[in-house]
Amino acid sequence: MSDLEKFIKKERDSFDEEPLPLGHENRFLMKTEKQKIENENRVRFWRVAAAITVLLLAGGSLLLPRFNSPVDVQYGSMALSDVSSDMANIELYYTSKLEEKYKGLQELSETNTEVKSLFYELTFLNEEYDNLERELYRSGTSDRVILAMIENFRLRLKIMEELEKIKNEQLSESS
Amino acid sequence: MEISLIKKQLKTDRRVQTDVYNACCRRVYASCLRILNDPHEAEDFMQEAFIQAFDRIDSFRGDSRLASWICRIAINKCLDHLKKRKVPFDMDAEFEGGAENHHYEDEGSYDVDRIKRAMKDLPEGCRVVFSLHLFEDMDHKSISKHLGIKEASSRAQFARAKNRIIELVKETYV
Repeated sequence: MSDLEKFIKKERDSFDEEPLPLGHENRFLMKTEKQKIENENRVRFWRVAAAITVLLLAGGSLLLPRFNSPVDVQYGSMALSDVSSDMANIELYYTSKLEEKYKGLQELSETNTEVKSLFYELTFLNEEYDNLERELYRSGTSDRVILAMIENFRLRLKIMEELEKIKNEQLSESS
Repeated sequence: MEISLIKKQLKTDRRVQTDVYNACCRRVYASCLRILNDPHEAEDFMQEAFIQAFDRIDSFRGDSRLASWICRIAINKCLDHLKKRKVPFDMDAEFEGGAENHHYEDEGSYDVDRIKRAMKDLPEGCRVVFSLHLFEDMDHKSISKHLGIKEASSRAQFARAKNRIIELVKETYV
């Protein structure tokens, strides 16, 4: 190590004795204040951004099933026929069958307790089907809901068949 | 006092920040000035380093003096600034005079002010390498990494700076 290096090492602290520019402390305080405001603005910005993101996500989750649904679905529910052409055929099959059976049951006397109970059940299943149509819309054509709707059709047809059977029994009794 | 409490105070308490600033600013300023050779720029980068240090105090591991840590932040800022200005750390041509070709007698009669003045007259690349190696205890490998130059170049710049300072100090005695 040269004498110069030795001297600098020995007097190291003296080399730090530099007069700082006048007013440096005030300028520092002003800079820290500015930084504080910038930090606060940054926090505020991220809070607003987070709030907007939450709102967009919430809005998106409400609107997404609607966008995923077929174009002609404009309301809060959708029919099986809105899902696909296969589903439309199934719906057509069951609705025509049910309509046909229902026409034949017009004259059925509702004084019979069993008949009353079966008609209650039919009403309940009809209401449940409306609920399923709404759920199908909300879920974005969930398979689970579609299967429940088909099962609902099947149960209603079964009840109609039972009612038809009772009607036939009543007719044979009266004749 | 627990380090986590100190960190919290340094991040938020303006009074504590000012105390630390006043305690360490002289050393940090001197380091910046040696590198930049400009009092206004040195003050700016010193203060930016303090603000950054307080803002990121969570990353201070406490394995060195706080002043040294802040000083290192300041030095990095100064070096980044010089690199942006494309200061030629590696250029042989920057040295005027040819002191590198002449070995001056190192006679040992020095004083702080003369050396300081001589350092101010050094070309930028030489002065930065000389300051980093002798005042900031950085080895040539580390300097070469920071400045993006060869290790040999850092050694050469240091030798030239040293020779030039000896020469300039001698001249003031004559």
